Formats: sequence, C-alpha cells, structure tokens
Amino acid sequence: MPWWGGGSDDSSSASAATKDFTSDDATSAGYGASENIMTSGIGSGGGMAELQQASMVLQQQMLVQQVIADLTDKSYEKCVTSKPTDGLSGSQVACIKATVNKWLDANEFITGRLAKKQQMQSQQGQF
Amino acid sequence: QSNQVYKSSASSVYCIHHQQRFQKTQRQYRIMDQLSPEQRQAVLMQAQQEANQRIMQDLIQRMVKTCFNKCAGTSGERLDSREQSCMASCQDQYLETRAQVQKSLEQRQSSGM
Repeated sequence: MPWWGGGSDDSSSASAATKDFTSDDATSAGYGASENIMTSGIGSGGGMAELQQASMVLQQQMLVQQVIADLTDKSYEKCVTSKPTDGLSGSQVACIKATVNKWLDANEFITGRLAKKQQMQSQQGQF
Repeated sequence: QSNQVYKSSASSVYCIHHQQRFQKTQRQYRIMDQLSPEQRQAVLMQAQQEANQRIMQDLIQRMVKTCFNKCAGTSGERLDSREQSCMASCQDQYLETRAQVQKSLEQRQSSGM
C-alpha cells in the first residue's frame, strides 16, 4: 500500500506519482505531477467513467504533491541551515532522507496508536 | 442511488443543496458523453495542465517565502547582489531538497512500507 494510503497495488504508478516530469513534456511545465491523467490508463468507458477516474487521479496527485511540498519545507528548514552554497552536502542529504522517513514513521505511529485507543474504547463500551 | 439518501434526510435545505450538486455533476457527465473521444482527451489534458500549473505556482510561492526569509536583509532599497546570489543558491538548494524528498518517498514506497 502506498504511504499515502491509496488502495492501488500498482507500484509503478506509486513511484510515478512522486516523481516530477523532466523536460520536454509540454503539459507539465517541468514540475508538475508525472502520474498524469494521460498515462494512468483511463479507458473509454463513456464520459461519466472517464470524468470520475480523471477526478480521482487528480485528487491523488494533489494529495501527493501536498505532502512533497510540506516535506520539502520541513526538510529544508531542519537540514539546510547554513548559508546557501552550491549543492547539498552528504550530511544534508542524509538529514533530508531521515526527515522524510521519520515523518512517515510519525504518521504511522500516531495513526496506529489512535486506532488502538479507539478500538479499546469501543470494546470497553460493550461491557 | 443518491436520491434515496435525500429522501431520508430530515433537513430540506440539505436535500436541496445536495440535489443541486448532484444535478451539476450529472450535467458535466452528460456534456462529456456528447463529446468525441478526441474532445474528451482534450478536456482531460487541460485539467491535467491546470493541475500542473497549480503545483508549479505553489512551488514558486514556497521558494520565494523560504529564500526571502533566508536571504533578504532589511537595509537598502532593493535586493542587492549579495542577496541575489544568496537567493540563487537558496533556490538551487531548495529544488535539490525537493528532489531528495521525492527520491526518499520513492525508496520508501518500493521498500513496501
């Protein structure tokens, strides 16, 4: 399951959703989402199905891009603290990777613990 | 299927509002049905382009905010050359940071967590 909670088992679309386009794609302006409506295989099941699928793909994109943007801000703030130079140092890169993973862990931790609490409460309520 | 929900809802205002939203969506679907496949593709492609533009603009705003806070002093009337070169480096580093974030997310994803 992707870290953003989507149900798809398509791992290629998962990594595509986090990538930026590079270069020559005229529709992306360089920093859009690469999990494109065009590449996500929306069939011609009639206008209704297409609209629904496209809408879901777009919503997914915006969710993922939101996380990327927030994590970038957090990582930059925590890790790139000295006066800007050319490029990122090895320790800065390691710091960014740690920030991303710890944030995802924190997310899972809080979510899981809350679910456990709610489960315990509902069990107690039955007695 | 949504109409059954409306019938059981107590509030008529809630009913009317959602009926209108439902009808709007229905109209959009009907419009899509009337277009040729090529026209539908064009509509979807435009939706994607607009989404990409929003992403881009959000990125720009964040970079301006981050690098202004980092680089801009409070003396002088305009951004001087030192502040400008700081902004340039800051922008490059920010974009590299973003690339690293994406890379880390992909790695996390492919490791099955």
